[in-house]
Amino acid sequence: MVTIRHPRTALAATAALLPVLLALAAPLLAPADPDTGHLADRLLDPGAPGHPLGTDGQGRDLLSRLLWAARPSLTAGLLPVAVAALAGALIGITAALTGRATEQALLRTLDVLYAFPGVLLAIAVATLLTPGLGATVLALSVVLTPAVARVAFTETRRIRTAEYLEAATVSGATRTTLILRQVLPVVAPVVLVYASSLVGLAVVYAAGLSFLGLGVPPPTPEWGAMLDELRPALFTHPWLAALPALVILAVSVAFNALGETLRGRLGEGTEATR
Amino acid sequence: MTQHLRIRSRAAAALATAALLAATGCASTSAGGDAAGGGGGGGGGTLVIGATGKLPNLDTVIGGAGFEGKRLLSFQIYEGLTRYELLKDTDKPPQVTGALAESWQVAPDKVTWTFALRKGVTFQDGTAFDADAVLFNLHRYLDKASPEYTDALGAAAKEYAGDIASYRKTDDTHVELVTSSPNGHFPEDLAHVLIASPTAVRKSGSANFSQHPVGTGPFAFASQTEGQQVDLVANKDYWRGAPRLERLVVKALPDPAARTAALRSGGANWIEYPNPDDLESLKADGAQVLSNSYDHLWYWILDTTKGPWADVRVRQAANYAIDRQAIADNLLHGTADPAYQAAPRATAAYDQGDDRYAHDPAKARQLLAEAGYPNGFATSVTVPTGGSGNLLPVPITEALQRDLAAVGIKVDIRTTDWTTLIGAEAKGEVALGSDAIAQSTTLFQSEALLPLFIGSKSPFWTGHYANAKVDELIATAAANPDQSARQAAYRTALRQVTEDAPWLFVVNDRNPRALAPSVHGLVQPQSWFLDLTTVSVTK
Repeated sequence: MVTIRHPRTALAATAALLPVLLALAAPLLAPADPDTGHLADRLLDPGAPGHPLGTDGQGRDLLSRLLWAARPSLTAGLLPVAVAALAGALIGITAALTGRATEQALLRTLDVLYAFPGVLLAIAVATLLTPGLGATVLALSVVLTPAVARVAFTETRRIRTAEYLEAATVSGATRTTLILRQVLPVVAPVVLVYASSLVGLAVVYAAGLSFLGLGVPPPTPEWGAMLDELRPALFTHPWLAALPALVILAVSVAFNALGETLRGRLGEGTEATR
Repeated sequence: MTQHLRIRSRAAAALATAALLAATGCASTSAGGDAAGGGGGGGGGTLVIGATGKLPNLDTVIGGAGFEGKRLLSFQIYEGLTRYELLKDTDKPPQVTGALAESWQVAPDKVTWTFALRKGVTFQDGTAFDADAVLFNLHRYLDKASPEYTDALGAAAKEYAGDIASYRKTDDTHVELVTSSPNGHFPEDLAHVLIASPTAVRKSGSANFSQHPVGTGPFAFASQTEGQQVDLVANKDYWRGAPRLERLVVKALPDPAARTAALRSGGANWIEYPNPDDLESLKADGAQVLSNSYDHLWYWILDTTKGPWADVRVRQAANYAIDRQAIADNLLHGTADPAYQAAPRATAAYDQGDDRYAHDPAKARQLLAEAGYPNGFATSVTVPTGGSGNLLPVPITEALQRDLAAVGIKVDIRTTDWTTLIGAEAKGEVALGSDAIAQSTTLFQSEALLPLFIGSKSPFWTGHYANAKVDELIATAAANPDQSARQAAYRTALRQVTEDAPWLFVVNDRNPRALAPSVHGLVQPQSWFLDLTTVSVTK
């Protein structure tokens, strides 16, 4: 098994899997309803009776909110990456295998998107839509796709003139067959590894959009929105204000680590076949 | 700029010492220098105010960015023929008194007003103030043929000067203004019709005047960093006596945490609307927290024609469902009072007997059942994320959301920025198409504005509220020059609004501000506005 031979990968995978499991188990784990709160119990520090991590500015249990927030926050972190991986791979491969005109059209379009700083582009797209999880997912998908497409394009270009591709073409394979059977198996691992390193970024971007009020509406808990809600308490209750930030940091580090180790392993693999 | 220190008789002995020290240490200050009270400034020192909103356009009436810009800048640079008396009787709403006019009379026809102008007043650029200056400004606001007229000015002036049908000077110190219909609160309206120096307007050109504003107020414009900071200096020749301060700096600090940080670090020595949660620790650090009631109301405007809100029982039910006391005590820490009726506490229209909507969820459920919504309903509200006078709009709304959910009213909160919300409202629309909007207002800051809030012909979005009785009351009251008669009519009108409940009445703000220990002499009136002439800052 992979786990035995690669303990670092296993560790990173566990760290990345943990928030997903916590998100799924939120209803079982959360000690309280994330939306119920009393103003009389506002901003209780961690360790308060009944509130292990304290309460937020509305008197809601912070632990419960952080757990429930994992669902929209991770959805906004994972779904756009999945969309970007699929769309990016498709665009990248198409650009590399079709004629020069299509290639240029696709690449220049991507360049335009690439020219904007990611956060700015995400804000621009999210502003055009009704705020909510859907808007966040769509906005981040648009932001992440160009980068994935670039990777897929470069990888496809590398193997475009490989003999087995020419052999397949000569033996009458259609373009679709060529892409699905010959190109995708080579490009997919590279794209997947690259995409896994984007999850951390997507979580942070999603948090950023919520922070700006472009994400989920109140009272839905979401890490970025919680960060924004608790920010005014930074002077008076620094621990409460820091909690959502720490969670965002931990999750993005976990997914980045996963991406890094996978990339390292892919490097080893490529090295071995050469 | 050479400092010309004159110790006024009203300046305290301690200030005189400070002034002398400053005068020996620093004979001159540069007007555009660093803000935070460092280095320069003799006399009463430099006051640096951290404001909550954006800074206004400095051209007289254009303003913008809410009333805060008017409070801290426009009313400091300019004056109208009248002004609010903000230093006396601070336990009552302020009265209107003479500014550039000493006195006035209305003819028996109730529309012809004669104003006797104050003699010996000069603008900050040395231009003498006279009847021609008044005419020049009225031309600039009202006469499209005037070379100084601009559309922006015309639109902005309409609010307060739109009622002026004709105007002329009778001699160098008297002007006669005729209103299109009897207007009892005309003198108050004129406090907002600010008078600019004709020389300065001609020099800079009308459109560029906002870059070089000159008025007769206690502080003169020195410099600005567009959108971030405005620096004013004392008008030593101010007709009421030079203000104690040397300089007045206003910084835009929309983020509450940034304001608290600025006060702690000394980047500001006065912050508007400190985060209520920070008050305790600010006080512990020696900051002074001042507040006073005024005519403020934080409320939701409900669309009285849409869905269940069309039923008055539903609107009343919502008003019984919310726990205002908890919001005022726990969320706002006493910086606001619960509002149980339409009339804000610090207004002549307020009558404690009209405090109608106590926290009574059982009654709310009963009213909802009577209206045919025993299981409640779903609705939506658009909330600004900040803005002048809006307190903590989103946290307050979230608390209301829970209270309303408890009786079955499920509210979808849609946040947007303040500029978007008021922009749509001014066009008679609701940003994001919700069934309600959350906002705040100063209901009686000017009587001229009252019909915009509760009248049926408002150009603004008012939730389509219309009550013929209210319309008639405010129309007849407005024409009456007798203030107590007007107030009685307003009280009756607001009582009707309370009963009709077109709004969700939430809290009346108390205008909290936090001042560094070095700031002295502030008189906090029962008003949104401020007189800063008595304020000084010691080292």
